[in-house]
Amino acid sequence: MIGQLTIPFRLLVACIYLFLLAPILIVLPLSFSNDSYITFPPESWGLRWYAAMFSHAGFAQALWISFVIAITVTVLGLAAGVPAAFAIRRRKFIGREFLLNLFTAPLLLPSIVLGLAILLVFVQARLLGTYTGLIIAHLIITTPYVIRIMLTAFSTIPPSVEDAATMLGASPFTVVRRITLPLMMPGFIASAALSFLLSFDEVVISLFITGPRLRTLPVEIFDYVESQTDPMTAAVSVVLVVATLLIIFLIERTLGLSKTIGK
Amino acid sequence: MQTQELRQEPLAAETNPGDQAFLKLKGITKRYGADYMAVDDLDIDVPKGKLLGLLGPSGCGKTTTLRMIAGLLDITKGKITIDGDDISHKPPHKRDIGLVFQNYALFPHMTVAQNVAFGLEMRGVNRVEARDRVEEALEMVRLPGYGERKPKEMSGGQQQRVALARALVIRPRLLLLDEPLSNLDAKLRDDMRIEIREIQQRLQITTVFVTHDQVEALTMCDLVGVMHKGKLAQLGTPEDIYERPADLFVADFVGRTNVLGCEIEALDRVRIGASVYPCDTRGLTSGKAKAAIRPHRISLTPSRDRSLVSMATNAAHGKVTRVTYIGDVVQYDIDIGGNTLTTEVHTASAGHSFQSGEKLLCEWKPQDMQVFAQGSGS
Repeated sequence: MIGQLTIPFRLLVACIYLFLLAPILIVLPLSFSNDSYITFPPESWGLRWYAAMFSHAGFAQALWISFVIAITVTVLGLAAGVPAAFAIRRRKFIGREFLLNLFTAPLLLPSIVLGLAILLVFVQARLLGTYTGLIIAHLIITTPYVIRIMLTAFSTIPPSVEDAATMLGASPFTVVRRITLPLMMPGFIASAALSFLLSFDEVVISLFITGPRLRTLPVEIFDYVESQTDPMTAAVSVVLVVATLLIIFLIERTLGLSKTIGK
Repeated sequence: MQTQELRQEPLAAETNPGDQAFLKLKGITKRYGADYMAVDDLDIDVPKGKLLGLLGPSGCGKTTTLRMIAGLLDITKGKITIDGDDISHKPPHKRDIGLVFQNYALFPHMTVAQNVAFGLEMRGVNRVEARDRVEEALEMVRLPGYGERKPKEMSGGQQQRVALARALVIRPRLLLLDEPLSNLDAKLRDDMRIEIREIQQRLQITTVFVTHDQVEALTMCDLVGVMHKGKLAQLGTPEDIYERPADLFVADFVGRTNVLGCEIEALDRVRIGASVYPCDTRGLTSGKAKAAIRPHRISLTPSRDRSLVSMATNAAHGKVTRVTYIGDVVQYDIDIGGNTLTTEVHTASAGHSFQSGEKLLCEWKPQDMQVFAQGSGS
């Protein structure tokens, strides 16, 4: 059946797409509502809530906090994950398999479990509601992805390719600059983008550890929906979706997404 | 070979008359851990312009040796010199050695031309000259005009030729080939064998070629070093290796051979089973030994009286136990009283074909049977 697109199969795919896209199909029109509360379909149309969003101090501040955290998490995650993946793939040492499993174990745990565990540790460490705490918590989520993607990136570079450059007269530094770096660049960019998005969108764990003074955007949205019933959150969501799509689109355009994630 | 007709390319190095060693390996040793000797005290001299084949089963140390010459592996002990220049501890990127890998190892993010130009760029060759030399190198490997392609758009054979061009364009002092043909299919392998040999002879470049394929070693190389368990079992011309193997391992590994248990009766004869055969056993003490005979050196005739056979030949009565048709040859397994001899008869020259179960007479010349000490080269 695989490779052959039968009509039932096409229908199934269409249903899955519809299911995945349904929230956006509701949220997008809703964001252009001029009503004071959420009704679907909206009774009046306009850009009122987009305007309100940009003048809302809470959202603007939360957006900035999320952005700072996501950038920091991305940089630190790459700084830790890239060398880790390199060591696991290229060096032979005892406990290599164990480290790989340990590093990628958080991928298997439900966020709620992780969130609770982090909360318990952070209470003791006085890290609740701090930048440090949020960044550490997000790194626990993003670093396993970085390691996974970079492992694939490194294993697609056969060592003999680097040896070939060496034999042609390239110094170790030149080999890294001219051969290793360009070849792992797709994986590097994919890891960076994914880290950024994961951190920027992260809500479950953030809910556990954000405080009243330090809220990330998803947490702010979550709280806002709980207390207010106006369509401003729809406008915020649309901005987030568009920003995310933009990043994905840029990667797809420059590198090809399927190539960077690997098959 | 038709090398005399080929014009001298500008890439060619001057040939030294005489056979002085150009590449010298002296006591090369690679030890892993406390006592695993991957390569054990290897001494090899390769004269300028010659092609040395390192032949052996996997794990014999031939690739380790090649990587030590390249500098990609440190040597534990010993000395490597090229043209008198001691390179034993020079970093690999300063050794000026071309290396062609089994899996081609082209740079996937560069075009063919960029691949070939890489070594020139590292040497600071100016763009105009580099472009000419890249084109010249691609012509040499019969890929003119392929410069703008990406490696993955090319077949395995083409990629290997690009790798060869890339290694040769820098005019290295030495060329190393690491099983360059084993990823190619059989037909292409034959063509590439001839092509690599032709280019090597035209450029007169001293070359070390690692292979586990005895046909490649025998057909392409001026010198063959057979390696076994980290040691050099024998170094000689292809003919030496095939006709006068130094030990049982070489006899068995290079070409097919029948190995029979025997007992040395005197200086000039051995006993196999119930029969005694004349042969040369010089240098061996009496007692148990092994006798080796190549399958195609045994001739088969319909059974007749032993007394009619010349005393100068060895002969054994036998019975065909299996007939295998291989195309150019027919292989007969023959039972000669407890031992099985495998023999080969060319289908074209076969005067008589035998059936399974048929009785016949196997004959071979005493000099075609070699006797080795028990356990030599094991």
